[in-house]
Amino acid sequence: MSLLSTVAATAVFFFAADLVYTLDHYFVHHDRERYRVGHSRHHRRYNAAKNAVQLDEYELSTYGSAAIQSIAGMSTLSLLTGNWGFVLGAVLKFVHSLVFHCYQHGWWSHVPVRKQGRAAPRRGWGLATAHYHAHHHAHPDDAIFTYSESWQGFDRILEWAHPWLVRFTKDGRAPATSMARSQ
Amino acid sequence: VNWLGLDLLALLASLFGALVGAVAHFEACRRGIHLPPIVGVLAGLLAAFASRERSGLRALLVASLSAWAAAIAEVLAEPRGGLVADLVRFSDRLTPLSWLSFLGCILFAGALASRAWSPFSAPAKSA
Repeated sequence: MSLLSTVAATAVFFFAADLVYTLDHYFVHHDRERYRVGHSRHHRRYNAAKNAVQLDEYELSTYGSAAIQSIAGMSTLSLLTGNWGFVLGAVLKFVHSLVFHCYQHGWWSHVPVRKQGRAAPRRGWGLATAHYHAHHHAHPDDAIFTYSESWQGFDRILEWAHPWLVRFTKDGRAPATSMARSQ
Repeated sequence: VNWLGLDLLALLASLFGALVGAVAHFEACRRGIHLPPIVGVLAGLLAAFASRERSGLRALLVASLSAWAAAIAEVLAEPRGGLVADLVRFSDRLTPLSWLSFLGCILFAGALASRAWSPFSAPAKSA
């Protein structure tokens, strides 16, 4: 197996995983029950004083579960194809998520992220920086989508598809529930 | 604790199923018969009978576990360069037919492990 194919497999999985993370993140924000039970805690935490050294139990469980699923699936694909770049991509994606969030947490103290006066990012197609994704943590319902952790283009495509895609979300399939939420 | 669709009972059941399946596959390999799907069927069935809620996440984990258990059984039955080296180069020994049989192992394990056939009902969800 050549180095090129290993690098390609790593990049393909890393990119695909971020697309899945971005889409799943979007769908969580359009599933009232799922948001209430788990994910809302993540945003409440960012909009208050820092209450854990780095990641809290929910965040560790979310990133850890995603990592185990990815690594399990990709290790099997690597076993059967002989290209170990797939499993390397899964490990790198986990490390990236951890480092990305822990880096953001370095800015955060008794002053909540929202109150730090950080400017909203402009819509772009470049790499998603920690500052870009932190905007989503502090402003989860902003019209500028900043769900992505690696390429801002996923958010721009989501914004473009949103009027159509939202009909396939849990809330979109239950218009009465969605209207009640927005009131 | 219900972690990725696997509580402790389902985890132990799927590990036991994979182990029994791997032993059966190992013995079959030594007789020249390749039957990876037996690992997936046993691990998936036991996971389903130990589970009280359906789970796609459990299906993925049990499918991966089955494929690895079958591969380990196969390299132990027909060693070439040591366990780790044989696993790293496992794809080299796969023919199109054996690749399909591993796919069968994964599909059987996933399809069965996603089910919930425990005779005990699921616990009520808290608000």
